[in-house]
Amino acid sequence: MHAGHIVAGMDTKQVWVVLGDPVRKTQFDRSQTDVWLYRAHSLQQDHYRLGTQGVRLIFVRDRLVVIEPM
Amino acid sequence: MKLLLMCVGVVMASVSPALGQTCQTADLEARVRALEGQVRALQAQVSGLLAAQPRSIASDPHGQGARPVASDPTTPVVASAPQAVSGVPQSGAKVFNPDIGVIGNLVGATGNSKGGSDTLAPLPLVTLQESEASFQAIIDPFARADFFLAIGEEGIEVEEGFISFTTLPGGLLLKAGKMRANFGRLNAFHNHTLPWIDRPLVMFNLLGGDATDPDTGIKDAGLSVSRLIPAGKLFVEATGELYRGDSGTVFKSSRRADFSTVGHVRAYTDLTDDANLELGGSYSRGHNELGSAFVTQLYGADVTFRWRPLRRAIYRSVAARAELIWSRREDLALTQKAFGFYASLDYQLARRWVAGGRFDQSDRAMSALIQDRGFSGVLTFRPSEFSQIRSQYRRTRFGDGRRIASELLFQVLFTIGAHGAHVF
Repeated sequence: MHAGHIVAGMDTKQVWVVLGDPVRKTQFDRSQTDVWLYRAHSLQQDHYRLGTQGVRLIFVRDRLVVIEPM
Repeated sequence: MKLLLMCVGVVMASVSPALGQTCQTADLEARVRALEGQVRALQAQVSGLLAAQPRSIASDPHGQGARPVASDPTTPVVASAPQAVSGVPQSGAKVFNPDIGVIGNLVGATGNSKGGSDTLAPLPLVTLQESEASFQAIIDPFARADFFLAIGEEGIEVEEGFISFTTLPGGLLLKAGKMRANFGRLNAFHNHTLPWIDRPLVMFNLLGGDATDPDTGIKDAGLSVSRLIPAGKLFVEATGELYRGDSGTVFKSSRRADFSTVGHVRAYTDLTDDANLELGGSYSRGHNELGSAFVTQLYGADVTFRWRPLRRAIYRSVAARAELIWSRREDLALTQKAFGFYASLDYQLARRWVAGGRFDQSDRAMSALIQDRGFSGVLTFRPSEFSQIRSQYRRTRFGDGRRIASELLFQVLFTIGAHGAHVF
Protein backbone atom coordinates (compact mmCIF):
# COMPACT_ATOMS: atom_id res chain seq x y z
CA MET A 1 0.00 0.00 0.00
CA HIS A 2 2.77 2.43 0.89
CA ALA A 3 4.19 1.99 -2.60
CA GLY A 4 0.85 2.82 -4.17
CA HIS A 5 0.00 -0.60 -5.55
CA ILE A 6 -3.19 -2.58 -5.29
CA VAL A 7 -3.41 -6.34 -5.25
CA ALA A 8 -6.20 -8.86 -5.10
CA GLY A 9 -7.37 -9.53 -1.58
CA MET A 10 -7.46 -5.90 -0.49
CA ASP A 11 -10.73 -4.58 0.78
CA THR A 12 -12.51 -1.45 -0.39
CA LYS A 13 -11.01 0.71 2.33
CA GLN A 14 -7.48 -0.28 1.44
CA VAL A 15 -8.06 0.35 -2.24
CA TRP A 16 -9.62 3.70 -1.46
CA VAL A 17 -6.59 4.65 0.63
CA VAL A 18 -4.29 3.84 -2.29
CA LEU A 19 -6.29 5.09 -5.27
CA GLY A 20 -8.80 7.51 -3.83
CA ASP A 21 -12.37 7.91 -5.00
CA PRO A 22 -13.24 6.02 -8.18
CA VAL A 23 -14.84 7.89 -11.06
CA ARG A 24 -17.76 5.50 -10.96
CA LYS A 25 -19.22 2.99 -8.52
CA THR A 26 -21.77 0.33 -9.31
CA GLN A 27 -23.34 -1.91 -6.73
CA PHE A 28 -25.06 -5.25 -7.34
CA ASP A 29 -26.89 -6.24 -4.19
CA ARG A 30 -27.84 -9.71 -5.37
CA SER A 31 -24.26 -10.86 -5.66
CA GLN A 32 -22.81 -8.48 -3.03
CA THR A 33 -20.59 -7.08 -5.74
CA ASP A 34 -19.12 -3.65 -6.21
CA VAL A 35 -17.52 -2.49 -9.44
CA TRP A 36 -15.23 0.51 -9.28
CA LEU A 37 -13.86 2.29 -12.31
CA TYR A 38 -10.67 4.32 -12.29
CA ARG A 39 -8.92 6.21 -15.02
CA ALA A 40 -5.66 4.52 -15.80
CA HIS A 41 -3.37 7.28 -14.56
CA SER A 42 -4.59 6.54 -11.05
CA LEU A 43 -2.41 3.46 -10.91
CA GLN A 44 1.09 3.89 -9.54
CA GLN A 45 2.51 1.60 -12.20
CA ASP A 46 0.61 1.03 -15.35
CA HIS A 47 2.01 -2.37 -16.12
CA TYR A 48 -0.56 -3.23 -18.70
CA ARG A 49 -0.16 0.03 -20.51
CA LEU A 50 -3.67 1.09 -19.88
CA GLY A 51 -2.88 4.53 -21.19
CA THR A 52 -6.06 6.46 -21.55
CA GLN A 53 -8.06 3.32 -21.08
CA GLY A 54 -9.14 2.62 -17.56
CA VAL A 55 -9.07 -0.02 -14.91
CA ARG A 56 -12.02 -1.93 -13.54
CA LEU A 57 -11.94 -3.30 -10.02
CA ILE A 58 -14.44 -5.91 -8.91
CA PHE A 59 -15.10 -6.47 -5.23
CA VAL A 60 -17.04 -9.47 -3.99
CA ARG A 61 -18.11 -9.22 -0.36
CA ASP A 62 -15.81 -6.27 0.08
CA ARG A 63 -12.73 -8.12 -1.21
CA LEU A 64 -10.93 -7.20 -4.41
CA VAL A 65 -11.17 -10.15 -6.72
CA VAL A 66 -10.57 -8.91 -10.24
CA ILE A 67 -8.40 -6.14 -11.65
CA GLU A 68 -8.80 -5.74 -15.36
CA PRO A 69 -8.29 -3.08 -18.01
CA MET A 70 -11.41 -1.54 -19.41
CA MET B 1 -35.93 -30.81 94.45
CA LYS B 2 -38.55 -29.41 92.23
CA LEU B 3 -36.93 -26.04 92.50
CA LEU B 4 -33.57 -27.53 91.54
CA LEU B 5 -35.07 -29.26 88.53
CA MET B 6 -36.75 -26.04 87.51
CA CYS B 7 -33.46 -24.18 87.73
CA VAL B 8 -31.72 -26.85 85.65
CA GLY B 9 -34.44 -26.63 83.08
CA VAL B 10 -34.12 -22.87 82.88
CA VAL B 11 -30.37 -23.15 82.50
CA MET B 12 -30.74 -25.81 79.81
CA ALA B 13 -33.25 -23.71 77.94
CA SER B 14 -30.91 -20.75 77.88
CA VAL B 15 -27.88 -22.76 76.78
CA SER B 16 -29.44 -24.83 73.99
CA PRO B 17 -29.92 -21.93 71.50
CA ALA B 18 -26.29 -20.96 71.93
CA LEU B 19 -25.30 -24.51 71.29
CA GLY B 20 -27.49 -24.46 68.13
CA GLN B 21 -25.92 -21.28 66.92
CA THR B 22 -22.48 -22.69 67.45
CA CYS B 23 -23.38 -25.73 65.43
CA GLN B 24 -24.78 -23.59 62.65
CA THR B 25 -21.68 -21.40 62.57
CA ALA B 26 -19.44 -24.37 62.36
CA ASP B 27 -21.51 -25.71 59.56
CA LEU B 28 -21.38 -22.44 57.74
CA GLU B 29 -17.66 -22.20 58.21
CA ALA B 30 -17.26 -25.65 56.84
CA ARG B 31 -19.33 -24.80 53.82
CA VAL B 32 -17.40 -21.61 53.23
CA ARG B 33 -14.13 -23.50 53.40
CA ALA B 34 -15.45 -25.97 50.86
CA LEU B 35 -16.53 -23.20 48.51
CA GLU B 36 -13.16 -21.53 48.82
CA GLY B 37 -11.55 -24.74 47.79
CA GLN B 38 -13.80 -25.07 44.78
CA VAL B 39 -13.05 -21.50 43.63
CA ARG B 40 -9.33 -22.11 43.92
CA ALA B 41 -9.69 -25.23 41.82
CA LEU B 42 -11.67 -23.40 39.13
CA GLN B 43 -9.13 -20.61 39.03
CA ALA B 44 -6.39 -23.12 38.50
CA GLN B 45 -8.32 -24.72 35.64
CA VAL B 46 -8.88 -21.37 33.87
CA SER B 47 -5.23 -20.46 34.18
CA GLY B 48 -4.27 -23.73 32.68
CA LEU B 49 -6.68 -23.33 29.76
CA LEU B 50 -5.45 -19.80 28.97
CA ALA B 51 -1.86 -20.91 29.00
CA ALA B 52 -2.63 -23.74 26.57
CA GLN B 53 -4.46 -21.51 23.92
CA PRO B 54 -2.63 -19.79 20.90
CA ARG B 55 -1.31 -16.31 21.55
CA SER B 56 -3.60 -14.60 18.95
CA ILE B 57 -6.74 -15.50 20.78
CA ALA B 58 -5.24 -14.96 24.14
CA SER B 59 -4.37 -11.36 23.21
CA ASP B 60 -7.66 -10.70 21.42
CA PRO B 61 -10.26 -11.15 24.09
CA HIS B 62 -12.95 -9.35 22.10
CA GLY B 63 -12.80 -11.81 19.17
CA GLN B 64 -11.96 -9.25 16.46
CA GLY B 65 -9.27 -11.26 14.76
CA ALA B 66 -8.68 -11.78 10.95
CA ARG B 67 -11.61 -12.71 8.74
CA PRO B 68 -11.51 -16.43 7.99
CA VAL B 69 -10.74 -17.47 4.41
CA ALA B 70 -13.85 -18.53 2.55
CA SER B 71 -14.02 -22.25 2.15
CA ASP B 72 -17.09 -22.25 -0.09
CA PRO B 73 -15.92 -23.54 -3.49
CA THR B 74 -18.49 -21.40 -5.27
CA THR B 75 -16.95 -18.17 -4.06
CA PRO B 76 -13.91 -16.77 -5.83
CA VAL B 77 -10.62 -17.60 -4.21
CA VAL B 78 -9.02 -14.46 -2.88
CA ALA B 79 -5.38 -14.41 -3.81
CA SER B 80 -3.01 -13.54 -0.98
CA ALA B 81 -0.86 -10.49 -1.34
CA PRO B 82 2.55 -11.24 -2.82
CA GLN B 83 5.34 -11.63 -0.29
CA ALA B 84 8.33 -9.33 -0.47
CA VAL B 85 11.37 -11.23 -1.66
CA SER B 86 14.09 -8.71 -0.98
CA GLY B 87 15.25 -8.11 2.55
CA VAL B 88 15.96 -4.45 1.81
CA PRO B 89 13.36 -2.11 3.29
CA GLN B 90 11.41 -0.76 0.36
CA SER B 91 10.67 2.62 1.83
CA GLY B 92 14.33 3.46 2.11
CA ALA B 93 15.69 1.85 -1.04
CA LYS B 94 13.59 3.49 -3.73
CA VAL B 95 12.60 6.87 -2.37
CA PHE B 96 13.87 8.67 -5.46
CA ASN B 97 13.68 5.80 -7.94
CA PRO B 98 10.79 5.34 -10.34
CA ASP B 99 8.90 2.07 -10.57
CA ILE B 100 10.85 -0.02 -13.04
CA GLY B 101 9.63 -3.04 -14.92
CA VAL B 102 10.91 -5.03 -17.88
CA ILE B 103 8.85 -7.24 -20.15
CA GLY B 104 10.53 -9.75 -22.39
CA ASN B 105 8.71 -10.76 -25.55
CA LEU B 106 10.17 -13.79 -27.29
CA VAL B 107 8.37 -14.56 -30.54
CA GLY B 108 8.92 -17.21 -33.15
CA ALA B 109 7.25 -18.57 -36.23
CA THR B 110 7.28 -21.62 -38.43
CA GLY B 111 5.36 -22.62 -41.49
CA ASN B 112 5.02 -21.37 -45.01
CA SER B 113 4.70 -17.60 -45.33
CA LYS B 114 4.82 -17.61 -49.12
CA GLY B 115 7.23 -14.70 -48.96
CA GLY B 116 5.09 -12.75 -46.54
CA SER B 117 3.36 -9.54 -47.42
CA ASP B 118 4.65 -6.05 -47.99
CA THR B 119 2.19 -4.84 -45.34
CA LEU B 120 2.70 -7.46 -42.66
CA ALA B 121 5.75 -7.64 -40.45
CA PRO B 122 7.42 -10.93 -41.39
CA LEU B 123 8.51 -13.06 -38.44
CA PRO B 124 11.82 -14.93 -38.38
CA LEU B 125 12.20 -18.35 -36.77
CA VAL B 126 12.72 -16.78 -33.34
CA THR B 127 13.34 -13.24 -32.14
CA LEU B 128 13.31 -11.22 -28.94
CA GLN B 129 10.75 -8.87 -30.33
CA GLU B 130 10.31 -5.44 -28.73
CA SER B 131 11.05 -6.10 -25.12
CA GLU B 132 9.88 -3.17 -23.06
CA ALA B 133 11.36 -1.35 -20.10
CA SER B 134 9.01 0.92 -18.18
CA PHE B 135 9.83 3.76 -15.81
CA GLN B 136 6.92 5.34 -14.00
CA ALA B 137 6.74 7.72 -11.10
CA ILE B 138 4.81 10.54 -9.54
CA ILE B 139 6.56 13.85 -10.19
CA ASP B 140 4.63 15.97 -7.75
CA PRO B 141 1.04 16.26 -6.50
CA PHE B 142 0.04 17.58 -9.91
CA ALA B 143 1.75 15.33 -12.42
CA ARG B 144 3.26 11.94 -13.14
CA ALA B 145 5.67 10.69 -15.79
CA ASP B 146 5.74 7.48 -17.81
CA PHE B 147 8.49 6.22 -20.06
CA PHE B 148 8.39 3.03 -22.11
CA LEU B 149 11.51 2.01 -23.99
CA ALA B 150 11.18 -0.54 -26.75
CA ILE B 151 14.25 -2.74 -26.86
CA GLY B 152 14.61 -4.68 -30.05
CA GLU B 153 17.37 -6.60 -31.69
CA GLU B 154 18.27 -3.55 -33.73
CA GLY B 155 18.36 -0.97 -30.98
CA ILE B 156 16.42 0.96 -28.40
CA GLU B 157 13.81 3.60 -28.99
CA VAL B 158 11.37 5.54 -26.89
CA GLU B 159 8.06 3.84 -27.50
CA GLU B 160 6.26 6.30 -25.31
CA GLY B 161 7.39 9.06 -22.99
CA PHE B 162 4.95 11.56 -21.60
CA ILE B 163 3.93 13.65 -18.63
CA SER B 164 0.36 13.53 -17.35
CA PHE B 165 -1.24 16.43 -15.51
CA THR B 166 -3.88 14.82 -13.37
CA THR B 167 -5.29 17.67 -11.30
CA LEU B 168 -6.38 20.19 -13.90
CA PRO B 169 -9.62 22.07 -13.37
CA GLY B 170 -12.76 20.83 -15.02
CA GLY B 171 -11.73 17.21 -14.62
CA LEU B 172 -9.36 17.44 -17.57
CA LEU B 173 -6.48 15.04 -18.01
CA LEU B 174 -3.62 16.43 -20.11
CA LYS B 175 -0.77 14.35 -21.48
CA ALA B 176 2.20 15.72 -23.36
CA GLY B 177 4.97 13.77 -25.03
CA LYS B 178 5.30 10.88 -27.39
CA MET B 179 2.49 8.39 -27.12
CA ARG B 180 0.31 5.97 -28.96
CA ALA B 181 -2.81 7.69 -30.24
CA ASN B 182 -6.14 6.96 -28.67
CA PHE B 183 -7.70 5.90 -31.95
CA GLY B 184 -10.05 2.95 -31.82
CA ARG B 185 -9.59 0.22 -29.32
CA LEU B 186 -6.27 -1.44 -30.01
CA ASN B 187 -4.03 1.36 -31.20
CA ALA B 188 -3.25 2.51 -27.67
CA PHE B 189 -2.23 -1.00 -26.54
CA HIS B 190 1.28 -2.30 -26.71
CA ASN B 191 1.93 -5.63 -28.36
CA HIS B 192 2.48 -7.54 -25.13
CA THR B 193 -0.93 -6.50 -23.83
CA LEU B 194 -2.86 -7.91 -26.78
CA PRO B 195 -4.77 -11.20 -26.61
CA TRP B 196 -2.87 -12.38 -29.74
CA ILE B 197 0.75 -12.58 -30.83
CA ASP B 198 0.32 -10.28 -33.81
CA ARG B 199 -1.86 -7.32 -34.62
CA PRO B 200 -4.90 -7.58 -36.89
CA LEU B 201 -4.44 -6.99 -40.61
CA VAL B 202 -6.39 -3.73 -40.50
CA MET B 203 -3.83 -2.23 -38.13
CA PHE B 204 -1.05 -2.79 -40.64
CA ASN B 205 -3.03 -1.95 -43.76
CA LEU B 206 -4.87 1.18 -42.67
CA LEU B 207 -3.23 2.50 -39.50
CA GLY B 208 0.08 1.67 -40.99
CA GLY B 209 3.26 1.87 -39.80
CA ASP B 210 6.60 0.70 -40.98
CA ALA B 211 6.16 -2.53 -42.91
CA THR B 212 8.70 -4.23 -40.63
CA ASP B 213 7.38 -2.74 -37.39
CA PRO B 214 5.40 -5.31 -35.41
CA ASP B 215 4.14 -2.62 -33.06
CA THR B 216 2.41 -0.70 -35.80
CA GLY B 217 -0.23 1.98 -35.43
CA ILE B 218 -0.56 5.72 -34.95
CA LYS B 219 2.12 6.92 -32.54
CA ASP B 220 3.55 10.39 -32.51
CA ALA B 221 4.63 13.30 -30.35
CA GLY B 222 1.92 15.70 -29.25
CA LEU B 223 -0.78 16.57 -26.73
CA SER B 224 -3.77 14.65 -25.50
CA VAL B 225 -6.68 16.03 -23.51
CA SER B 226 -9.43 13.86 -22.13
CA ARG B 227 -12.43 14.40 -19.93
CA LEU B 228 -15.19 12.37 -18.40
CA ILE B 229 -18.63 13.45 -19.55
CA PRO B 230 -21.55 13.08 -17.14
CA ALA B 231 -24.06 10.75 -18.76
CA GLY B 232 -26.15 9.17 -16.08
CA LYS B 233 -25.41 5.48 -15.75
CA LEU B 234 -22.91 5.53 -18.61
CA PHE B 235 -19.20 6.06 -18.21
CA VAL B 236 -18.36 8.39 -21.12
CA GLU B 237 -14.95 9.74 -21.90
CA ALA B 238 -14.01 12.11 -24.72
CA THR B 239 -10.42 12.57 -25.93
CA GLY B 240 -8.91 15.09 -28.30
CA GLU B 241 -5.33 14.82 -29.48
CA LEU B 242 -2.97 16.93 -31.54
CA TYR B 243 0.21 15.42 -33.00
CA ARG B 244 3.18 16.52 -35.06
CA GLY B 245 1.86 14.55 -38.04
CA ASP B 246 4.56 11.90 -38.52
CA SER B 247 3.38 8.35 -37.98
CA GLY B 248 4.72 5.51 -40.07
CA THR B 249 3.15 5.34 -43.49
CA VAL B 250 -0.23 6.81 -42.58
CA PHE B 251 0.74 10.43 -41.79
CA LYS B 252 3.67 12.53 -42.93
CA SER B 253 4.25 16.19 -42.18
CA SER B 254 6.08 18.27 -44.76
CA ARG B 255 5.94 21.44 -42.67
CA ARG B 256 4.99 22.46 -39.12
CA ALA B 257 1.42 23.23 -40.13
CA ASP B 258 0.87 19.62 -41.26
CA PHE B 259 -0.14 18.41 -37.84
CA SER B 260 -2.52 15.48 -37.34
CA THR B 261 -5.52 15.24 -35.05
CA VAL B 262 -7.33 12.39 -33.33
CA GLY B 263 -10.72 12.40 -31.65
CA HIS B 264 -12.20 9.55 -29.64
CA VAL B 265 -15.36 9.03 -27.63
CA ARG B 266 -16.16 5.90 -25.71
CA ALA B 267 -19.05 4.81 -23.54
CA TYR B 268 -18.98 2.02 -21.01
CA THR B 269 -21.79 0.44 -19.02
CA ASP B 270 -22.30 -2.56 -16.78
CA LEU B 271 -25.16 -4.57 -18.27
CA THR B 272 -25.36 -6.93 -15.30
CA ASP B 273 -23.00 -7.83 -12.50
CA ASP B 274 -21.42 -10.35 -14.89
CA ALA B 275 -21.40 -8.48 -18.20
CA ASN B 276 -20.36 -5.11 -19.51
CA LEU B 277 -20.28 -3.36 -22.87
CA GLU B 278 -18.10 -0.65 -24.32
CA LEU B 279 -18.67 1.29 -27.55
CA GLY B 280 -16.29 3.71 -29.15
CA GLY B 281 -16.04 6.06 -32.10
CA SER B 282 -12.87 7.60 -33.53
CA TYR B 283 -11.74 10.09 -36.15
CA SER B 284 -8.28 11.03 -37.29
CA ARG B 285 -6.98 13.42 -39.93
CA GLY B 286 -3.50 14.17 -41.18
CA HIS B 287 -1.38 14.73 -44.25
CA ASN B 288 0.16 11.83 -46.11
CA GLU B 289 3.55 11.39 -47.75
CA LEU B 290 2.40 12.94 -51.05
CA GLY B 291 2.55 16.42 -49.58
CA SER B 292 0.75 19.11 -47.63
CA ALA B 293 -2.11 19.22 -50.12
CA PHE B 294 -3.02 15.58 -49.62
CA VAL B 295 -5.02 14.50 -46.61
CA THR B 296 -5.80 11.11 -45.11
CA GLN B 297 -8.86 10.69 -42.95
CA LEU B 298 -9.66 7.71 -40.76
CA TYR B 299 -12.97 6.77 -39.18
CA GLY B 300 -13.29 4.05 -36.59
CA ALA B 301 -15.94 2.22 -34.60
CA ASP B 302 -15.26 -0.37 -31.94
CA VAL B 303 -17.27 -2.57 -29.61
CA THR B 304 -16.12 -4.74 -26.71
CA PHE B 305 -18.29 -7.12 -24.75
CA ARG B 306 -17.06 -8.89 -21.62
CA TRP B 307 -18.70 -11.53 -19.49
CA ARG B 308 -17.17 -12.72 -16.25
CA PRO B 309 -19.31 -14.63 -13.71
CA LEU B 310 -18.17 -13.09 -10.47
CA ARG B 311 -18.40 -16.22 -8.38
CA ARG B 312 -16.02 -17.90 -10.83
CA ALA B 313 -14.23 -14.70 -11.81
CA ILE B 314 -10.72 -16.15 -12.08
CA TYR B 315 -11.83 -19.34 -13.81
CA ARG B 316 -14.25 -18.23 -16.53
CA SER B 317 -14.61 -15.24 -18.77
CA VAL B 318 -15.53 -14.31 -22.31
CA ALA B 319 -14.36 -11.31 -24.29
CA ALA B 320 -15.69 -10.40 -27.71
CA ARG B 321 -14.18 -7.54 -29.71
CA ALA B 322 -14.71 -5.95 -33.08
CA GLU B 323 -13.27 -2.88 -34.68
CA LEU B 324 -14.11 -1.30 -38.04
CA ILE B 325 -11.93 1.29 -39.77
CA TRP B 326 -12.56 3.33 -42.88
CA SER B 327 -9.75 5.12 -44.65
CA ARG B 328 -10.03 8.04 -47.09
CA ARG B 329 -6.63 8.71 -48.57
CA GLU B 330 -6.21 11.48 -51.13
CA ASP B 331 -3.99 10.30 -53.90
CA LEU B 332 -2.61 11.98 -57.00
CA ALA B 333 -5.40 10.73 -59.23
CA LEU B 334 -8.25 9.85 -56.89
CA THR B 335 -9.22 9.21 -53.29
CA GLN B 336 -8.55 5.68 -52.08
CA LYS B 337 -11.51 4.52 -50.01
CA ALA B 338 -10.55 1.46 -48.04
CA PHE B 339 -12.27 -0.51 -45.32
CA GLY B 340 -11.04 -3.08 -42.84
CA PHE B 341 -12.16 -4.82 -39.70
CA TYR B 342 -11.40 -7.59 -37.25
CA ALA B 343 -13.63 -9.62 -34.97
CA SER B 344 -12.37 -11.80 -32.15
CA LEU B 345 -13.65 -14.02 -29.38
CA ASP B 346 -11.66 -15.20 -26.35
CA TYR B 347 -12.90 -17.78 -23.88
CA GLN B 348 -11.19 -18.54 -20.60
CA LEU B 349 -11.29 -22.31 -20.19
CA ALA B 350 -9.72 -22.51 -16.75
CA ARG B 351 -7.78 -20.36 -14.37
CA ARG B 352 -4.65 -20.34 -16.54
CA TRP B 353 -5.97 -21.24 -20.01
CA VAL B 354 -7.55 -19.03 -22.64
CA ALA B 355 -8.59 -20.05 -26.15
CA GLY B 356 -9.66 -17.68 -28.86
CA GLY B 357 -10.04 -16.89 -32.52
CA ARG B 358 -9.90 -13.85 -34.74
CA PHE B 359 -11.09 -13.03 -38.24
CA ASP B 360 -9.40 -10.28 -40.26
CA GLN B 361 -10.33 -8.56 -43.46
CA SER B 362 -8.83 -5.37 -44.79
CA ASP B 363 -8.30 -3.40 -47.98
CA ARG B 364 -5.00 -1.63 -48.41
CA ALA B 365 -4.77 2.11 -47.84
CA MET B 366 -2.82 2.85 -51.01
CA SER B 367 -4.56 0.23 -53.16
CA ALA B 368 -8.11 -0.09 -51.97
CA LEU B 369 -8.99 -2.77 -54.51
CA ILE B 370 -6.58 -5.24 -52.93
CA GLN B 371 -8.11 -7.06 -50.00
CA ASP B 372 -6.33 -9.29 -47.51
CA ARG B 373 -8.10 -11.82 -45.32
CA GLY B 374 -6.93 -13.88 -42.41
CA PHE B 375 -7.98 -16.19 -39.63
CA SER B 376 -6.18 -17.00 -36.39
CA GLY B 377 -6.68 -19.53 -33.62
CA VAL B 378 -4.95 -18.76 -30.31
CA LEU B 379 -4.21 -20.76 -27.18
CA THR B 380 -2.71 -19.03 -24.13
CA PHE B 381 -1.30 -20.51 -20.94
CA ARG B 382 -0.49 -18.28 -17.95
CA PRO B 383 1.63 -20.09 -15.36
CA SER B 384 1.42 -16.98 -13.20
CA GLU B 385 0.65 -13.30 -13.53
CA PHE B 386 4.30 -12.70 -14.47
CA SER B 387 4.62 -15.01 -17.45
CA GLN B 388 2.64 -16.22 -20.40
CA ILE B 389 3.06 -18.80 -23.14
CA ARG B 390 1.00 -18.49 -26.28
CA SER B 391 0.65 -20.23 -29.61
CA GLN B 392 -1.25 -18.97 -32.62
CA TYR B 393 -2.09 -20.54 -35.94
CA ARG B 394 -2.43 -17.86 -38.57
CA ARG B 395 -3.69 -18.33 -42.10
CA THR B 396 -3.63 -15.27 -44.34
CA ARG B 397 -4.72 -14.86 -47.91
CA PHE B 398 -3.08 -11.85 -49.53
CA GLY B 399 -5.05 -10.07 -52.22
CA ASP B 400 -2.06 -9.36 -54.43
CA GLY B 401 -1.33 -12.59 -56.28
CA ARG B 402 -3.74 -14.47 -54.01
CA ARG B 403 -0.84 -15.84 -51.97
CA ILE B 404 -1.67 -17.84 -48.87
CA ALA B 405 0.50 -17.89 -45.78
CA SER B 406 -0.03 -20.61 -43.22
CA GLU B 407 2.05 -20.09 -40.10
CA LEU B 408 2.34 -21.30 -36.53
CA LEU B 409 3.47 -18.59 -34.15
CA PHE B 410 4.59 -18.92 -30.56
CA GLN B 411 5.30 -16.38 -27.86
CA VAL B 412 6.80 -16.32 -24.38
CA LEU B 413 6.17 -13.23 -22.27
CA PHE B 414 7.95 -12.70 -18.97
CA THR B 415 7.96 -9.79 -16.57
CA ILE B 416 10.30 -8.58 -13.86
CA GLY B 417 10.21 -5.54 -11.64
CA ALA B 418 7.71 -3.80 -9.43
CA HIS B 419 4.21 -4.68 -10.38
CA GLY B 420 1.01 -2.81 -10.33
CA ALA B 421 -2.36 -4.01 -11.48
CA HIS B 422 -2.65 -7.29 -13.32
CA VAL B 423 -5.45 -8.97 -15.14
CA PHE B 424 -6.64 -11.96 -13.14
